Amino acid sequence: MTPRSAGGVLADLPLVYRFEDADSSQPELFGGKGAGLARMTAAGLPVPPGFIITTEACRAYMADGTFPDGLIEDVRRHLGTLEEKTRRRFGGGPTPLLVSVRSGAPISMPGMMDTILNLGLNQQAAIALAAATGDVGFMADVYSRFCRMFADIVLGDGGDAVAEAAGPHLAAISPGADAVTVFTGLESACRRALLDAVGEAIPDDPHEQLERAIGAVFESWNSRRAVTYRRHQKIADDLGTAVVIQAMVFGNLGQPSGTGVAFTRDPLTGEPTLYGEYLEGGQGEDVVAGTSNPMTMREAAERLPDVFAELKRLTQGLETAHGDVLDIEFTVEQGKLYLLQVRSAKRTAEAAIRIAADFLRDRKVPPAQVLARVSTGQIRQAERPAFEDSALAAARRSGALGNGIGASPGQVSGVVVVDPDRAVEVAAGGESVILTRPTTSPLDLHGMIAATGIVTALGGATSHAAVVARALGKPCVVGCTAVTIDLERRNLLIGGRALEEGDAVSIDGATGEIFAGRLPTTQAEGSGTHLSEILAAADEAARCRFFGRATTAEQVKTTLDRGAQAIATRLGDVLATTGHLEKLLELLVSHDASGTKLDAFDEIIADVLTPLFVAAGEAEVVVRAVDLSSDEAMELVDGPALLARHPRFLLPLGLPEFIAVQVAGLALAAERSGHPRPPQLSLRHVTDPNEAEEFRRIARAETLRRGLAPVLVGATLTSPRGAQLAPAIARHSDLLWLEVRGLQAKLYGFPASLWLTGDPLDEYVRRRMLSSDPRASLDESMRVLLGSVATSRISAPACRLGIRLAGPVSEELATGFYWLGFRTFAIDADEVRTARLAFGKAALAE
Amino acid sequence: MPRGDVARRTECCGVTMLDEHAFLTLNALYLKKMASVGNLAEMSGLPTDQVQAMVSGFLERGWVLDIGSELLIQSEGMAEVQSYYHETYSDLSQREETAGWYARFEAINRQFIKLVTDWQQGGGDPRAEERVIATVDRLVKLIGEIALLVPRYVGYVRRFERSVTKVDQGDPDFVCTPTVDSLHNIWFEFHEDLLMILGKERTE
Repeated sequence: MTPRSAGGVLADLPLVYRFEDADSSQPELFGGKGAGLARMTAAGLPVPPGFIITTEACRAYMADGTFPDGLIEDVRRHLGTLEEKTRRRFGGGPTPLLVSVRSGAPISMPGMMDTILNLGLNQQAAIALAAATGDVGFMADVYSRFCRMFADIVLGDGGDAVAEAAGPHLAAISPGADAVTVFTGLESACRRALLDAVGEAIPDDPHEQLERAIGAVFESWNSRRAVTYRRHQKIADDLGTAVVIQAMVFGNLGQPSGTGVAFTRDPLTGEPTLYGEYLEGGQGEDVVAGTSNPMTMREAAERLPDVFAELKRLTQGLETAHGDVLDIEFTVEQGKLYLLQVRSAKRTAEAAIRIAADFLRDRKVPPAQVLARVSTGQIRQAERPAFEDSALAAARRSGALGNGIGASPGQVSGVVVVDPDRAVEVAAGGESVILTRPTTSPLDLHGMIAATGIVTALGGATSHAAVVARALGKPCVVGCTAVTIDLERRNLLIGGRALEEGDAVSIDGATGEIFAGRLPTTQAEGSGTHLSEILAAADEAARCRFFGRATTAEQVKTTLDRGAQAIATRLGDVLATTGHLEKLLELLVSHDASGTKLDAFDEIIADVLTPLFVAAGEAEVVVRAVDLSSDEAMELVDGPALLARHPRFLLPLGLPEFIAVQVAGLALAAERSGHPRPPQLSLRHVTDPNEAEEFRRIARAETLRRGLAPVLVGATLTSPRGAQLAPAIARHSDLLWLEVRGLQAKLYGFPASLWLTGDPLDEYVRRRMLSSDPRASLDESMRVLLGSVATSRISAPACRLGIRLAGPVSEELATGFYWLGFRTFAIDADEVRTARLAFGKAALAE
Repeated sequence: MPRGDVARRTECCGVTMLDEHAFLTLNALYLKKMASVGNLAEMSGLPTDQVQAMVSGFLERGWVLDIGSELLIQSEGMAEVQSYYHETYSDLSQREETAGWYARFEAINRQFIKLVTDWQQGGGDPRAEERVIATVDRLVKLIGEIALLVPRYVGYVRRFERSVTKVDQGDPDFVCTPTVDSLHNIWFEFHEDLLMILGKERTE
C-alpha cells in the first residue's frame, strides 16, 4: 500500500460513502450509477442499501497500480455498517450478506466491468444461506451464478466451463439434499473446471473476492474497449470509475419473487403506459439476457396487483422528477419491491416524438428539457409517407392478401419481385420494388437495398430480413406464411391468389398487412399531430423565419404545410422544370452576340411564376434571378463551352437587360396573382456596393417604365469579398442573403458540388484531414465573415439579413447561427421540420 | 500481374480448383453477391491491387459482371465457389466434433439475433450493445476452436475485431447497418459460409 498520492483538496476526503451520504449532484465523484442510487435513496425509494467507492480511489489506483492507503479498511468498515443495517453477516450466518459489485463511470462507456452478483459466499455463508432460506437448490443456484460471473468478469474467462461443470450438480439436487454435500460437490466441480480453463480458482475468503472485484472494476477503466471509446470521443482518461457495492436482493428466492425491467412509457410507440418485462424467479440480468420468456407488465400486474401498483406509482413520480421517460431495473423479493437502477430510456424515433408531445401537453417539464430529448435525426426518421386513410380503410374492407409480422414500420407500394438480382434491375429502372423472398440472407442484401419494401414468408421479428430492413429504414413484413413463392416461375401464391412478378402490392410494415394493388399515399407524414405540437413549441422559442425552397406550385404547398413561413424559389429551376431554359439560353446567346431584344421573355417568366405566387397565398416569396454560371445551369446545357463563348454570362450584371426582363416578369406574376406582398428578386454573387446600387437602379427603372408595382432587390453573397463588404452592399439592398455553401466553397477552394454529396467529404472529415466538419459547424474563418455580415444591421437597419442553407441542417450549425443573432433562413423543403426543431433547441439551450 | 496468376488453379486430389486467395476473393463476392473491389479487399484481407488483378481474371472468365462501381457474381462464379467448398470441406460435416460445435454455434446464434433486435428496438440501448459485443466475443472464441480445421476463419475474427472497435469508438452503424461491414453483416456471412462448409440449409 502507498499513501494517497492524488493530492489536492480531494486527498483528505473519504474514499467511500454510503448511498445516503453521497451527493447526487457529483457524478464526477460517484459515477452516474452511484449518483443515481444516491438520488433514489434520498427520495425515499425502496433501494437496497449500499456504498460507493469514489472515482478518486480509482485515480489513485491507476497512478500507483495498487489500492490507495486506507481504502480496504474503509470498505470493511462500510461492510460492517451494511451488516448492521441489513442484519446479515458478510461471509457467515445466521443470515449471510451477499453484495453486488458494479462499475459506475461518470460517463457511460463500453468495456466497463459488468455486474457481479451474489458476492460473499464461502462454505459457511453458503450453508447458512441454505438454512436461512430453507432452500438448498436456491443456495446452489446463487453460488453457481456467482462463480460464472466471477470467472468471466474477474478471471477473464471460464464462465462456460463453470456452467458446464455445475449443470449436473444443480440438476441432481433432490428436495431433501444436504447443504454441505451439495456445496462441497459444487465448489470442487467449479474449482476443477476453473483450474483447467484459466489456471486459477475463486478465492475462498469473501473479503478477498470483494477486493478482487473492486480491482477488476478499476482495471476495466483501462480495458481496450473503454480506452478506444474515450480516445475517439475525446473523453479524459483520468476521470476514473466509481465502484458501487450494494446488498443483494433475490428475485430467485421464495415467492412471489422475480426481476424485471420497466419503462414508464412504451419505448417503441411512446404510449403512456407502464411497459416492460418481468421474469418470475429470475435474478439480475436474466431478463435482459433474453434467455428466457418473461411476462408482460400487464400479465405481471394481474399476478401481483399490489406490487405493480406500487411500481407504477413510484415510477410516475420519478418520471416527473427526472423530466424524462425512464428505464427501471427492479426486483421483487418475497413480495417486496426494490428499485435497482433508474435511467433515461432509449426510444424509437416515433416514440420520442409522441413522448415529447405528451410531455409538452402535461406542462410538468420545461419545454427546453422536453425538446432536448428529440433529435433532428428522429424527425427525419419519422417523416414517412403513409397510405391515404380512406384507401387503407377500403383495402381493409375488401381484405388483405396476407398478414405477417410487422417488422419495420412504414406504408409503401411497389411491384413484386422474387429475386434480388432482378430487384436491383427493376429498381434501377425507376420502379419501386417489394422484394418478396422465402427468407433472406446476406446473398439478398443488394436486392434489399434496392427494394422499397420487403416481405418474407418465414422468420420472425429477429430474422435477418427484419434486422436489415430496420437498419435500412425500409418497411418490412416477415413471417407471412400465407405466401408461397415459386422462384423458377417468378410468381407467388398469397392467400390463394396468384401474383406474377411485376404485379403491384402495398405493404404496411407496422401491422404486417399485405394488400393487392397500389394504395395512394399522402404527404401527411407519420406522427402528424404530435410532431406539429413539438414544432410549434420550437417555433415559439426560436421565433425564426424560414423560407422553404420550392420550384413548383405543389412544392410551395408542401413546404408551407411543413411550417415554412415564406418561399424561396430559383427562377432558373422553375424555367428548367417548365421546359423554357433552352429557349432562354438561345435568346441570351443571340442577345449577347447581336443585340436581340429580350422583352418578349417577360411573359414567359410571368406565366411560370404566377402559379407559385397563387399557391403561396399570403406567404412572402423571394425569387433568385437566373444564375447562368451555377452548377445547376451547367448541368442542363453545354455549360462550359457556352460560357467560354459568352463570358459576360459569368458576371452578375453582365447582361443588364436580362435583369430588367426578370424584374418585369416577376412584377407581372405578383400583380396577376394578386399577391399581397411586394415581390423580391435576389441576385447571386454580388461582391460590390456598386453592383447592388446598379441592380436597384435597373429594378426601379424597369418597374417605373412598365408602370408596375416596385420589386424589392436582394443581394446574395457567395464570396469572402461580398461578406466583407456586406455593410456597404446592404445600404443599397432590401435583403441581404449569405449563401453558406457558396461562401465555404470559396473559402476552402473546393468546388461547391463537393458539399452536395456525403462522400468523399465524409471520409475526409473522418480521417481528420479537416479539423471540423464545415457542413456541421462554423469555424473561425466563417465566423469572422458572418460577423462582418452581421454588422450590416448597424450600417443599414432597413435591410433584412438572411442565411441560405443547403442540405441537412445540423443542430450544431443551427446553434451557431442562432447565437450569432441570425433569425431568417432559406432551407431545402425537406429540412423545414428539422430546421424548426434545430433552431427551437438552439433557442432553448442555455 | 500476368494473367496466368490471376485466378490460377491448382491440382488437388485430382480435382482442378481455385487457389486459396482466388477463393477468398470470389467467396467474398459469393457471400455478398454484389460488392466493390474495395469491399472484397476488406473482406478477404488481401491487398487491393492483388484483388483487382484477380477480379480482372474473373471478369475474363465470365465469373463476375462489372456493373459500374460494383461487381455482381455470375452463376459460373457461384459454381466455382460451390465446388471449392465441396472439394475442400466435404469431410467436415461427417466429423462428430463439428456437430457438437455447430450446436453451440446455433445457441449463440439465436441469442445474437435476438440481441441485435433488442438493440434496434431499444434505440441502441447501451446494455443491449454490451450484450451484442459479448456475444460476438463468444463467437470469436468459438471460431478459435475450429480455426485449425478452417484456418481462413481467422479472417472473420479480424473483421469482427475491426467492427467492434468501430462500435467502441461510438459508431453505431457498425452494429447492424447493412451498407457497412457491420457485426450483423459479418455474422450472417459467417453463418452462410458455415452452412456451406457443413453442407446445411438455412432455416430462417
